[in-house]
Amino acid sequence: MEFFANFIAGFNVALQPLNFMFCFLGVFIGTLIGVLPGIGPVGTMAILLPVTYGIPPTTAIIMLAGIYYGAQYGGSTTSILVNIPGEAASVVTTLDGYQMAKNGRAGPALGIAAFGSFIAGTIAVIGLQLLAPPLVTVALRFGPPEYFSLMILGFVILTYLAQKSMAKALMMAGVGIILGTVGLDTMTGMPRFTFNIPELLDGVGLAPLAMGLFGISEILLNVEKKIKQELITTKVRGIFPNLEDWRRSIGAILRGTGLGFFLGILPGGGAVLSSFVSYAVEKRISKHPEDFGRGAIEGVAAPESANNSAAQGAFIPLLTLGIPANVVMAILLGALMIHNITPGPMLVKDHPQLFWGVISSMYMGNIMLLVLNLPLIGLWVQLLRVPYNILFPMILFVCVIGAYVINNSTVDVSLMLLFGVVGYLMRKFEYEPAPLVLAYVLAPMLENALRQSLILSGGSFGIFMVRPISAGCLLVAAALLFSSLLPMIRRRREEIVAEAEEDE
Amino acid sequence: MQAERAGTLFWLAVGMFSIYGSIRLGLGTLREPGSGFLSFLAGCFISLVAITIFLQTFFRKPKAHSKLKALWAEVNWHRPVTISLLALGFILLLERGGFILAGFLLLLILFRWLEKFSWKKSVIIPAITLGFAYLLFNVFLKATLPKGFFGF
Amino acid sequence: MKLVRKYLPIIISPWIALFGLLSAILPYPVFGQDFPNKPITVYCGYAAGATTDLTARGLASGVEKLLGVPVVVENKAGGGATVAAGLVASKKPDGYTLGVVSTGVIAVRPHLLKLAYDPLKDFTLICQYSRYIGAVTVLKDAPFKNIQDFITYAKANPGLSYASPGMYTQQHLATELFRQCKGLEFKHVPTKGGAEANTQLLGKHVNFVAGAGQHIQYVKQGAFKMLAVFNTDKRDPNYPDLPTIKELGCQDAPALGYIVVGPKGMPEAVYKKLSEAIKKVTDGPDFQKLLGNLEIPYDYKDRAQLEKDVLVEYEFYKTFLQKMGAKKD
Repeated sequence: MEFFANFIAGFNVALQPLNFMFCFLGVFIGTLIGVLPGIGPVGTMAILLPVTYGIPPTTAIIMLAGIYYGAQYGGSTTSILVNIPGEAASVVTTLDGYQMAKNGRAGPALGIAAFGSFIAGTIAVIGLQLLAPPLVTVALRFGPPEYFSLMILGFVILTYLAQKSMAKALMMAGVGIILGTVGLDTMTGMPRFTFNIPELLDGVGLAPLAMGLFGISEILLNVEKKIKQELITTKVRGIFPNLEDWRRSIGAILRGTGLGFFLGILPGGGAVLSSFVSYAVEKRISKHPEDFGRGAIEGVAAPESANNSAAQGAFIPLLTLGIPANVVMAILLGALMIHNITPGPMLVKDHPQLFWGVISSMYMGNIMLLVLNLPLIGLWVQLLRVPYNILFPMILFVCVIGAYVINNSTVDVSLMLLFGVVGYLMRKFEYEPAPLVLAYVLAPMLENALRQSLILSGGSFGIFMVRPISAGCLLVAAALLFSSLLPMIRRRREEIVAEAEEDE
Repeated sequence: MQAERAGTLFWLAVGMFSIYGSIRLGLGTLREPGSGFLSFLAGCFISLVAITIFLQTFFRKPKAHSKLKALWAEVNWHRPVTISLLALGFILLLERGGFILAGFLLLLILFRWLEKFSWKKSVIIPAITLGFAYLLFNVFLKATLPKGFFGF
Repeated sequence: MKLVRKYLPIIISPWIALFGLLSAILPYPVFGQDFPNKPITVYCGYAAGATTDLTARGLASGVEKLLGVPVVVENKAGGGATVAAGLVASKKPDGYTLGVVSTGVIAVRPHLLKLAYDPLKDFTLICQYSRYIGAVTVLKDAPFKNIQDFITYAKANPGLSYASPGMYTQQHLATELFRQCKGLEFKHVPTKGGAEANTQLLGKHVNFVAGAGQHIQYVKQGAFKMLAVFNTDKRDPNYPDLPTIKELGCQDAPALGYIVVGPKGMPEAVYKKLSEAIKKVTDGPDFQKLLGNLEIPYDYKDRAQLEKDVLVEYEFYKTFLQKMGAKKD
């Protein structure tokens, strides 16, 4: 019963005109910057922090939160339309979303992304309300050894992203690992592979990497073709997802929601990881995995749901314990502290208005976002009909500006361009960028977790098997690896036999 | 040379470079991994796979379009090159010339010379775009885009 | 002619690049007007939302009101604020570029990294307004009531683990000094920041944390308790029962400060205007309230004092880091 009392109380706060207005403002801005590649919620929230000085703290948090999960909605738009991930978490959406757009099904792709995000976001908020305290206790049990094992599991799952040659995909993962080490080493405080470029001290940057490997390379590849060739089928088949789409996607949406929610709670986990993992999971359990990478709608539904529920899930550690699960939450933490609100275990008791008000505003925000995004789908689909030779300079321009604004640095733009050229060459030679990006995200966490664990255990590797959660993850990883190697070995044997027969 | 071979040689170089760099960073021991531990492993792995694929090309029958030159035979390769160079020029110009000037030139050149639009289109579309971008980024989002030499 | 038209973009783009390079070399014309007459950029060496960033923004909005021009904070986090520091050092000392960094960029980082700037020569120090704090922090229900209990326990149980906000941070170094002084053995787990370190303690993955500021919120909420403070000569006025490690007989790592800097060679008139404005803001009630909310002390040092102290810090860290075996790359 207390749940409903809090629920009602929360809505009383959320529906106050000021809060309602700022919620809308937040999600609107969030969608906008989500669509624009490069700029992310972090930069925008930082810029708008001074705006929050003059408004009550609850309102401030509602707006900032809206920017964050709104950006998740917007990020999928450019991923689907032009293969440029507007948000790091939307990288995976490009794999199938863009293919769907090429087949004239941009509308359904955008639609299922919007609906999936809405369903995921709403369920996640319910989860937030009901499950926050017990879940965060579980999340706290994840120490360095657990993270290590989880990352190993992530690497195994990464292999499912491979579409063509597994060997090449793994090689790209290796490159991703190396790129992940660029920057300051947390454990020694020393720079690695930075070539004395100060901007590299913080790493290469996921945004320039993803924008270059996916977006810029796409432009470079496309302009090669003769202009007369139709790039995207202008015959648009349907604006909204049809029944068949729904039938295929609903499972993906629900699974993505669950995965994203849990991974979002883990500090350091987050939307990017959950989008990759949910995609790989869908591909693995699908009855027709060969569709993935060619326009399977589950490949859009799953990651989009996952990244939205991860965005909501990330609030849990912040609101219940005052732990920022990612960089965005750190800004919210700062905003709270400016207003003299100390986030932590006592937040719900000391400031119930804030706590429940923010949560209820998320329901509102998700509805607003759905209402905002659906009509825009028609607009976006029209945008696709613009001839590519007008479109691509615009895309290029937006990307370059976007890359600059991340850190107000031309180094990021140069990096994006570099990765664009590399990505272009990679794709010509049939190397996939997706495993590279995922490895890039996972590797630093893997490495830190490994080294921290070994410090804690005094050098013994037993620590990974002694602790239950860690051992569990490793076992699952081993099982998955084994079960995917088996068919590969079988196939390879068949291949060898077939080739031998051919030669005869 | 076969395309595949060229590709793997490149990645082999990357792997070797990583191995070299990692050793310089210090590998540590298995019990206490050093700075270069992970990148060393990754570099070794990459090199191994690259060599494997490279060697495999000698045992498989080469497919019809596997020559290096074939990758660029039927396409306008100078377009991606130009775009890359233009982007590079934009980057160099951005902070000193200001984003309006740099952006305008970028779009202008792309439209006029690459896509061969009329002068009217080549000037109007970038102008509108720049104006819109200025409003969006500088006014609305309060992002700070470079002002440059001329103050805009 | 047709060939030229086809390849014109390739022909033109290097020229644009050249123009860009040339304009980078040619000097700016000087529009002689009173300072300030255009926006001031403040590079903050830490990420948005970090404590330093929040203070920088507070400072910026205050100065903006006083000087009448926009004061914009740009975050350039990385390398312990060295990226921002390097950027500031490379700009013109006309007062339109400032940086908010920690004294670490002058006192600590030069001993660890190859830097793009000369720490002792390339800056005009304007002032310090606060300092970073630290404390030995444990969980509320840990079996030690005070620091003496803790030392006894640690002697009996060598190998206690602790999380710090990073390798060679002042909190890490202070803990190391404390450890050496009392003859204890700890396992040091470096993390990427105060928040992550606190999370390790919350999850009971380490025994204590070298608290770096954000641990205060957990102390206030009853999840943590502090046993001793370091990086300071005086006791914390909010927690007067806690001894400093100096009182315990140990050497302490001097606290790094939040400082405002500009490129070297700033004209005296510009410096005066800036430093007066900043002092007014930091003395003002808004900024004081902000510091109070963030629970960091108000420790103002003007240029003269700061220059002296920073040299002392520089020498200290140089010797100490060498002793700890930190090698400059």
